Amino acid sequence: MYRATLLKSFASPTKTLRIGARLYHEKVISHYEQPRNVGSLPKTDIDVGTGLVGAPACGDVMKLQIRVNEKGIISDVKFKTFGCGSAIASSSYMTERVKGLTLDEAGKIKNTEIAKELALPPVKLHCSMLAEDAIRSAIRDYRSKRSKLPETQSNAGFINVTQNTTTGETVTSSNLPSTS
Amino acid sequence: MSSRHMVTERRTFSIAAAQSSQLNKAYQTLLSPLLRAEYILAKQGIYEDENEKLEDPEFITEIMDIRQEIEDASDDETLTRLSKKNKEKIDLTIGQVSQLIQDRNWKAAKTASTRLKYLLGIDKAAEKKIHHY
Repeated sequence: MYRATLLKSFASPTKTLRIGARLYHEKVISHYEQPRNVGSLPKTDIDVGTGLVGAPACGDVMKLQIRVNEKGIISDVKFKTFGCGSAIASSSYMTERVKGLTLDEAGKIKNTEIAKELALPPVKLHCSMLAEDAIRSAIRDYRSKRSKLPETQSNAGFINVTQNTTTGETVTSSNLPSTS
Repeated sequence: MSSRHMVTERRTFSIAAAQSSQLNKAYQTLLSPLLRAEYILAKQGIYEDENEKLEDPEFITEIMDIRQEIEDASDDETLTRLSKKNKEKIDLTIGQVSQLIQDRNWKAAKTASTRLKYLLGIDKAAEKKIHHY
């Protein structure tokens, strides 16, 4: 009888492991098998912000890019993640979540929301954190790109003026003081 | 058999199981340069923090680009070439890690060991794809 219990106690870990394969929530699997918005945006475009982050603990890398329209709204999002299923699902979910939002709204999305939505287990929480870091990094990149523009206004028309100033130096003086 | 005897047997069995598992872990650690480095660093109080972030855009871009190249590679020849190039980087990095550990330059050793981890990840991805063909 004792032997039976002994065997049973040793057999149980295998059983949990087998069940473990199914521990991923169906939403994770859906985002993993059919990730949304995979790809790249031209990172030199002035209306594109690129976020690059990595999680050394699991060796994941994530790139998340946003295109922001003249109203300050995220009009397009693309991502590329090399990592585990949860990291891919988290970034895929994030791209769907931020499309159509303002930068401020997008920057407020918490990893806990992603984790909850995808029902990530505690050991995979850092994957959702990576997605949060990625969108923030993209927003930061976009804003720093914008702040380097010599114009205070970010209208497309004004950018053209900037390009002209580099060739014709006479026009520059009126714009330059506002830069600093 | 008396139940007392069974209890003793059970205890011996679990001790043996624990020892064998520890021995396995130790052997695996000794086999892998990365695990060895991580073990030595942990002894110095430098642990792998789960929430740690990597924010070196240059390095992330490098890793991203190689991973992308591997993903896009459609023939064995390209994959083997990429894998070979990466293996050279791995050897170089292992050398750096051991030198830095020897110098007791823990912080730099940690950075190099993280780099090694990513390169090993690339190696795994490349091998997996090569064997897939």
